[in-house]
Amino acid sequence: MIAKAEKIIETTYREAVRMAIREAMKKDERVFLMGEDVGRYGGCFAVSMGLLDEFGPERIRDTPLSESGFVGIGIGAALAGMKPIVEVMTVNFSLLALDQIMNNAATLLHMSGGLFNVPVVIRMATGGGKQLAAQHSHSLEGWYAHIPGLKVLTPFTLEDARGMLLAALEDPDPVLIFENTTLYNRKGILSAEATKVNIDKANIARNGKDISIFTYGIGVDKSISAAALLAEDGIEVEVIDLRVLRPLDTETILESIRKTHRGLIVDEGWRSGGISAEISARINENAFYDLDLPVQRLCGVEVPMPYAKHLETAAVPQVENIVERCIKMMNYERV
Amino acid sequence: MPSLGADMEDAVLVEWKVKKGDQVRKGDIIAEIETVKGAIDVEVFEDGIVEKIMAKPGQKLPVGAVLAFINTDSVKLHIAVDPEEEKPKEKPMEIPPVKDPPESIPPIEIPPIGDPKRDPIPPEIVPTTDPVRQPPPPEVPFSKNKINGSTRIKASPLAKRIASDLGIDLQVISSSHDSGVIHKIDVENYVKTQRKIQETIPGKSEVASTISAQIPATSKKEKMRSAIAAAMSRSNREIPHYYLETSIDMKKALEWLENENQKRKVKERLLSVVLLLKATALALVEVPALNAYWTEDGHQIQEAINIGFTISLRQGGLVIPAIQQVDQKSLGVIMEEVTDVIQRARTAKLRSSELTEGTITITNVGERGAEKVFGIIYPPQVALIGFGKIIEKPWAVDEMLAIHPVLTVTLAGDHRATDGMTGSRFLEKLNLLLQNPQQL
Amino acid sequence: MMLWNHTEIKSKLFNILEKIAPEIDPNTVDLDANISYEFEIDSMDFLRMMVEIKEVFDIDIPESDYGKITSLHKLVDYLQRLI
Repeated sequence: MIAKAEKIIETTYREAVRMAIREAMKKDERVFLMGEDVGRYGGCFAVSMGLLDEFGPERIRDTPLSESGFVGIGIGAALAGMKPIVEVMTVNFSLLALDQIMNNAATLLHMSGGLFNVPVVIRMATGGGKQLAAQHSHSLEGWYAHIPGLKVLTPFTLEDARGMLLAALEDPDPVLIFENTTLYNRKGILSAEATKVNIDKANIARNGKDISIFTYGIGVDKSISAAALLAEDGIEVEVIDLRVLRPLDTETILESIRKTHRGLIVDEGWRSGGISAEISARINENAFYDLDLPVQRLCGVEVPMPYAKHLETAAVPQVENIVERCIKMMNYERV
Repeated sequence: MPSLGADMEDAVLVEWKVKKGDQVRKGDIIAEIETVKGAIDVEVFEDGIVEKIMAKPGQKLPVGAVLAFINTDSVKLHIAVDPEEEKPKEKPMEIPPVKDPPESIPPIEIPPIGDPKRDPIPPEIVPTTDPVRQPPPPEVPFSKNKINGSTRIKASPLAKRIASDLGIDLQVISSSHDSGVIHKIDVENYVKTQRKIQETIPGKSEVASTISAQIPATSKKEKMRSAIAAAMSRSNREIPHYYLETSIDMKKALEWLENENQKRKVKERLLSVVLLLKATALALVEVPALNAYWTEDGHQIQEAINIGFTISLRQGGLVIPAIQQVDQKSLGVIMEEVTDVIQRARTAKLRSSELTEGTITITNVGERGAEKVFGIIYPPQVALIGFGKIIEKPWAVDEMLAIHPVLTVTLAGDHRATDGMTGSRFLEKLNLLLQNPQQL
Repeated sequence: MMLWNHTEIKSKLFNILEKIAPEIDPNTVDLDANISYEFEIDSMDFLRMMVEIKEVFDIDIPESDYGKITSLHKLVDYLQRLI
């Protein structure tokens, strides 16, 4: 929520992230940014543009092309008392640092019997849509949400893009933040002063009574567009911006299902064993008797991401797919 | 948006030639688009029903963008709207067509390959304006729920819970969906229908005040018809009817009536139905067993003789107000009350007591031409008397043949309460009374 | 004593009929058709009509004459003769 009587600025998602980095670094000496091309280049997605000049090379650190190496360094720095923001260019490259993330960052607190916190924040760009093809278009945030010991955040609003990073930096344990590349240019308004946001609750992005759509990131945008189209036919869709994939805000999810009795999960990631399956299972376990039809999932097509533009578009849930699925749900059609 | 050339990137949608709900055939032109090469008609390549228009006229869209959804399945499409949210538009009173076109989209015939054979839809109940004997009620309305031959009832968890909370057996709920699965809306519809049945039966319920709503708009008329249908089916199912019939010579009665009316001013003229009402009432004084309710305590003879009579409404549908204590009123008073009640019935201003206090009902189809009518009893009453059209018929008088106006009277009786003997005695008494009209 | 012509009688009759059968359209009515069937009027409605005719035209049509006024045309003629 925008704080009252504050100065309002019009800005972009990218800018909002930058504002958070800047503010965090100004407030706390221990915060620093590290990653490939974050310094001189200003960031692969221009998030850290200008920050090198402002804070200098000690605090804005260009790293070598070695994810396993520099994510490990970040973890080490966190263990030693720093508050690093590790920028992994995209989630695709984070696979090279999976061992660091899963076996070190996520587990050291447990393995040290509670002695060692790892307050590292790892930011990653995620998603497809830019014809970067099979190896560079993954949406793996749902995968990471599988791992105990991590928090997984997926900001959609500008306020969350800024606020969640600040909140993550105050968390003593590792937090992963996934920023969908398509969202960076998204325009919006923000209050000039950052507001505190939580990193454990989902948000009702749009109220409705006929269908609940559970989604995150770019899915929220598409679902809201679909909801507007469906409203023309008298179908009122509730859109829940999950915001956090681990821990999932089960309570908000169940409350919504109890209201609409129809659930749809929209996720760019693949459906098999994905976060959509997890949400569906939780609804089944806890709100079975509130369901008027089985929980539905609309996910990325189960193929490596195609390169050709029209195939890439077809491989991921689009607004019209959401509309079509919702209409089918209202008719209790089996899919 | 079709690709109409290798170099075509986008086009502007100029105009839609179809709208949501329209049926389209392969080859039909459904829209006009404008490309750099000029205006082009867009064809559709499959049969189907336009389900949702996505693009708006004036919009420029790239090749491949979705313009509209066309449903090519044979699954009947309907948006499951809450029945309480009927369209607010009230149509002005007009003579409705015999069969109202269904609001929902008509289904396409071809069943998809591999789908389980769907059960045939049970025969539609079409109530006429008089409660003439109905075709047998649909067999086991929940037969649609039998999927793949098994008798397991399929219902969504929510529907099951709601039904269980309300103490309703899923067996009695029919699914409105082709899959046969019972959803929340089916349980809700069942509950609503049950309430309507309580309202339309002139029994001891207080809810009949709903009938004093305004003249039925189309949707209310349909609700009324379905309520009547439900009530009639239930009656036919639960009450063991027996039927008796007799012919009554009306010559004396009608002559007396003509005479009477000559003496009276036009405002005070009596209609023949009033004679029938009074005669029925006096016959019931002698045979009170037919003036009763059948309740869980059995046969309960009622003291007051309140005769209900069926009035058909101009827009279709039926009300059955009752005149109270007919046996104690003079013909003139009965005529006044009948006139008043009919007026108010047709303008929907009946009182709930008029709808709930009837102890027996008569139905007079004579005017519309049927010779006899075999009616269905309105529970908790135990009898229904039907008066047909008075027809000139050959009649034996003093061993000679004459032509007399003859009325066929039928009696429907609840066999739990009375039997043929009682019914016959009643009809005999009725006949005697009508042969002495001056004593009515 | 007012002398009314055909048209005036007809229009007054339509006013009466409108009260009893509101959905009829005077322009499409068959004047020679049987009134009861054309307007779906039963004996009660017919009697009401007689009562109204008494009010409007001050004519009391006896029951025995009902056979003479089976169509609108006949009714108009009947009334005109008596007015």
